[in-house]
Amino acid sequence: MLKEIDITKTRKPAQMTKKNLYDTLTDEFDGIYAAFERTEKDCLLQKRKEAFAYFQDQKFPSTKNEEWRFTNITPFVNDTYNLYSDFSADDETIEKALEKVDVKGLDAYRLILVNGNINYDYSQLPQTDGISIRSVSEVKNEVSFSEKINQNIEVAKYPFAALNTAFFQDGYYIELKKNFNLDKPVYIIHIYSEKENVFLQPRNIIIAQQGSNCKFIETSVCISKNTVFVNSFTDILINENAYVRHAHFQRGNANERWVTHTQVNQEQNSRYDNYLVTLPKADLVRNNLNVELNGKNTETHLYGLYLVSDKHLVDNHSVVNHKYPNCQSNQLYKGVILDGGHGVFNGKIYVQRPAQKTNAFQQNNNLLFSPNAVINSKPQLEIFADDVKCSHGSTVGQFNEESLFYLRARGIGEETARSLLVNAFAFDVAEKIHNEALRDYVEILIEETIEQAQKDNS
Amino acid sequence: MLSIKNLHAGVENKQILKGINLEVNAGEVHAIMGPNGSGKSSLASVLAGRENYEVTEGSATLDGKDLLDMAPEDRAREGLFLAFQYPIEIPGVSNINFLKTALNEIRTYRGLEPLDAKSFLKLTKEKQQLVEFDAKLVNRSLNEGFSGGEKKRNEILQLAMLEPKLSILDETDSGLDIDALRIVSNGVNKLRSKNNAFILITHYQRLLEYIVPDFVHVLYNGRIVKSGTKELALELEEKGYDWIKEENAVNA
Ligand SMILES: Nc1ncnc2c1ncn2[C@@H]1O[C@H](COP(=O)(O)OP(=O)(O)OP(=O)(O)O)[C@@H](O)[C@H]1O
Ligand SMILES: [Mg+2]
Repeated sequence: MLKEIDITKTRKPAQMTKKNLYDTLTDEFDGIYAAFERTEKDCLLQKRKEAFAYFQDQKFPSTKNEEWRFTNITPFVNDTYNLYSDFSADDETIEKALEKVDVKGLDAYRLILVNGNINYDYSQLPQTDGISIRSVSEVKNEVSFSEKINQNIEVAKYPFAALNTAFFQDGYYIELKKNFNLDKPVYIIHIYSEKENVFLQPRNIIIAQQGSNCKFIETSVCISKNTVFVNSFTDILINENAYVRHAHFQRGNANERWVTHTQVNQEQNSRYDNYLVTLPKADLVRNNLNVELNGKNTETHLYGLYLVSDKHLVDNHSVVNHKYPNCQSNQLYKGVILDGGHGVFNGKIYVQRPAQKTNAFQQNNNLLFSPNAVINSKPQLEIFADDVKCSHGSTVGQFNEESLFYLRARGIGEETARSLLVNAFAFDVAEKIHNEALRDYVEILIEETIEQAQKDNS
Repeated sequence: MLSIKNLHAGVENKQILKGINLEVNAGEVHAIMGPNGSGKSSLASVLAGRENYEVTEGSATLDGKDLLDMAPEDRAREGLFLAFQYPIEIPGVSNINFLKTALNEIRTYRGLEPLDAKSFLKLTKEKQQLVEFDAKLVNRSLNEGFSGGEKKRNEILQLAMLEPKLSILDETDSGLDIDALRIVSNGVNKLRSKNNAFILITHYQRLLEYIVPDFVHVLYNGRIVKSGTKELALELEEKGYDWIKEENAVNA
């Protein structure tokens, strides 16, 4: 806890003038770094310094950067933010937040983080030696943590990841011990409660040791009237024969901006399943999901479902990198773009020369609800091996008015009919979710979203 | 029950219905026949509330309530049912879930409690037997991959479940094999009562042997140009539509 106080001490008096985020970061880095120097070991400090140099060199990406072509972040980084945060939130706020993300019928452990810091009072953690769950601030000087920072990512290519490395203060650290099989999922809830406009950068890590098996469900919730920009980075390291299932729900409000980077590293015979469900209506949601396959016989499933409403931008970028033989990856992303919404999908599959007998599939299907809905979809495949089975594709369809009429002609109200049809479109993603409570949750979220969109329209 | 007066409607400036008058009372069965493209399905669509049709003149009421003013779902809730000429496939929406949603929305509208799972299953089973609908199809996606005849029977299953006041069957007999035609007709006959009414749109006299109509109308060029009893259907079967067309060419 002390470390954070150190950082807030470096804070300058409140700025009256509007200052963009780049200048804020540049001006404050030295002071924040000085605070880090008092508590952190050299190897981590070194990485922070390097990363910040990359960021300063590249600055925030503009739409000239191919990776950001359709996602213009300029208006969001021109705002003025504070870089520190008040780590406390009263019980009432926490309870209100928890209520918002409650999943009916879900039997799970709970890991609650408030502004990036684990709140042990509200968490319900597994009581076993098989898993260790701690705050990053508690472990950041342990080699097991610091050596893993950016181990698997070319951070120079990812300005937000570089930025996160330079500034992160906290987050969760989860380690599953060898051959440990966690009986229930862990529901990870990030609560952000802010009294000022802030730019926050949590850093998380999940390490699944050899042969372990676990499920995570993750979500974030803001209780704030201010602008909150969260740039989070999560490392997921899956060792030999381990299996990690990871569901991520994203739902927000205007004035929330989310950039997430999930860096998955799979060793041989491991499996990773990701379910990413994004709902309105944060101003910006940009997800980078990168999967490095570092051994043979791996299996990877990435499922995405995004509902995008008016003034809401959802951008999913995925990379799956096949480097060894006999690996399988499968991606299915489905998007429903409502009136005024903008969706972006960019998926890359690389199959390197040694990766023979690769099976790699990728599909992105979109449903446009109105002529005033936009999708930019770009599936990409780069293959350097010859004995592989790969495919990719992308479709864009209009909402079927005939189907809507059929349902309404049977007495089903317009709103319900639309929800039924969106659920039908989403079905082949939703059905892949093993947990029944979560499947029902997805259905409810879809209904609520359509209901809200109807209200906004009328 | 249904009262249509001087109904004019069209699509994108094209006039299709040009002054339809029709009165259907409770307990009656009316047949509407007529050449291809004369406007039979259009009439059904306008009554059911398909949005691409624009009503330019006239009225249509169901038990005194203005149908044309209502959203399609409210027309259905008020007791109008259209068995479509071409039922569409909706992948991902299960037949059973669809039936349940429809039934419960209609019940809620009428101030009734939604049916619990058990009573719903019981009702489904009962109606399924009435129209001899394959139980396996009930759990599939709505009409997805159904044969033409199966789709038509599914329409009748829905009709049986929702118990409408006024049912319009748009060429439900087309595409049914001989046995299916008998089964569907038997089903409809069992559903007939003094409180409901049916409009059968058909090209074939054969259906009318199974479901005997009280009146037969000929729709031609957007108007009902001839009405009569079931004998009119026999006459059409024998002589075709040329004489009707000629009569109207003379009159026009
Ligand atoms: N959306 C549309 N746009 C333009 N014309 C239309 C449209 N829908 C129907 N029509 C025209 O309206 C006329 C009547 O069509 P309708 O389907 O009502 O005929 P029908 O009597 O049901 O014929 P059939 O016996 O072949 O089923 C036809 O000429 C048809 O082409
Ligand atoms: Mg027709």
